[in-house]
Amino acid sequence: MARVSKPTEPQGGQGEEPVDIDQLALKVDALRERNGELQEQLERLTTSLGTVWGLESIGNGLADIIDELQPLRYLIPPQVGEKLPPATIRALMNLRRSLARPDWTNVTSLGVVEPDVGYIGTAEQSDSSTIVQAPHGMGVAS
Amino acid sequence: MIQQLVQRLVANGATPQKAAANVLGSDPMDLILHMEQVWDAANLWQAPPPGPAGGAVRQLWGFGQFAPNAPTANPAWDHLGYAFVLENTRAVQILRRVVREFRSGEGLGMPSVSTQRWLGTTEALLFGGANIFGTGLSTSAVRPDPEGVRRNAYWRLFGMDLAFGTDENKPFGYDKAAAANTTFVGLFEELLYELWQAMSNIRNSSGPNSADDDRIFRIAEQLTYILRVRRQYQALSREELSAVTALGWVDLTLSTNTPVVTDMRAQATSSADRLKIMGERVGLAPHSRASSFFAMAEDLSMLLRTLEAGYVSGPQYAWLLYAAGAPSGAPPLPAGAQPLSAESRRVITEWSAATGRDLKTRKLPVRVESRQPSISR
Repeated sequence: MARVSKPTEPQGGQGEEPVDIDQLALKVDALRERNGELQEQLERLTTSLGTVWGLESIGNGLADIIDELQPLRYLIPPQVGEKLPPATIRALMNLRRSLARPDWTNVTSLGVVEPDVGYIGTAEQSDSSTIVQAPHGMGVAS
Repeated sequence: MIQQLVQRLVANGATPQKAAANVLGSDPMDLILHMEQVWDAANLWQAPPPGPAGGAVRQLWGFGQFAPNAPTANPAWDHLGYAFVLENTRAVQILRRVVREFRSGEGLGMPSVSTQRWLGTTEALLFGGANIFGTGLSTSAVRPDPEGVRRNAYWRLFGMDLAFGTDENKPFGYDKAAAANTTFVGLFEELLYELWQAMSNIRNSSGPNSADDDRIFRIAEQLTYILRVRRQYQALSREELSAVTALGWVDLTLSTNTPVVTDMRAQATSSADRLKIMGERVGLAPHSRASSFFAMAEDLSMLLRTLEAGYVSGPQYAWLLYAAGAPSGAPPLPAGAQPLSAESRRVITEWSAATGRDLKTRKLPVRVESRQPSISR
């Protein structure tokens, strides 16, 4: 709960009650919501009765108050973070481990050496001393 | 799934180059059998032992090239968002033309042996080439076009379509579901805005602080809800695995100067540049923001997985999405469980660049719905 104490009165004056910023922020939200509802009702009234100057002034006044109070939201101290539950930590570790992938940043080529291909029916194959045979005939320079 | 397979080969002692060459030169059947192993290990439908795979498939994958590299229990694969942003580069349509050119003539030169192997697997994984596990790739006579299946999934989960139609710039026809998360983009961009505010204020110990952990939690919770409501009973998971396998293949193909890149004289230093040159060779330009899509694919996947998993289950855990470490007073996180500060930052930057919308300022706040009942998986 965020509480900001106003400075106490000097020379022994009595301190005032602390101001609850969270509560004020909630009130701002509530006022905004209420203002929306009032605006809707005002529109309905205006439709049926024509312009009612008094009601419109009240609606505009509420909007002004909300705008004035809006900066209070930014005085709320940051939410205090808590440590993650152990199950979430385990799941996050598993997710990161599962999705790990190679870093290709400095890899410019796979170094694939194409095998010599013979003609259908000939027995000669590529020189195995220079090529490490990968499956299916594709070689990678060793 | 493809990049993760390469990673598992690397973990077993291969160099990244050798592992990538191994995967890119493999038989499509081996990759599809491996996909079945991943699906089985995930066991999303909670099938009793020995798991969801039938006896025949279980026997078959034992013969597969990658059988010894199966993941351990409960593996995750990339989120559908990974496939969505990569497909938005237009890489699939460019590769379609590459395959057509190589298979129908010699306009691109003669493909090397390695490229011929790559062509065979690309036709199977991306373009509906016949294989005995058509259902594994989420296609059938009812939904024959893999791209149409993916577009359907993108629409349902994100309420978004790709930025282009067919490769001939005609509208792309596909089954467009009525139930779709059309509020996703607004909510997601609002979350990115709030995360940026929180990152900007993370070192503020006094003065105004516009970080709003409660709002971050509320938006994250809403995103969890809308993503999981489309996935009740793990619907769309099979389509997701197929999509990220297909686009993972594209990702690996362009990650470095692979044989097909070399054969097309498209050597460059980034995936986006390689795609651009390949596009020039076949007369189809990639998306103008392709580099941003490539740059954020991996990070977006991690961020969406985290959101959908619902790890941010209260405002006190909102820091997970923007902090670089555990909050003060809390014990440090173990290695391998670092928060998502880097991922969120990258997504904010690249999403802004890709969409042209400045997420660091906000026009109008998005209304977040009231709390929803929790949804079981």
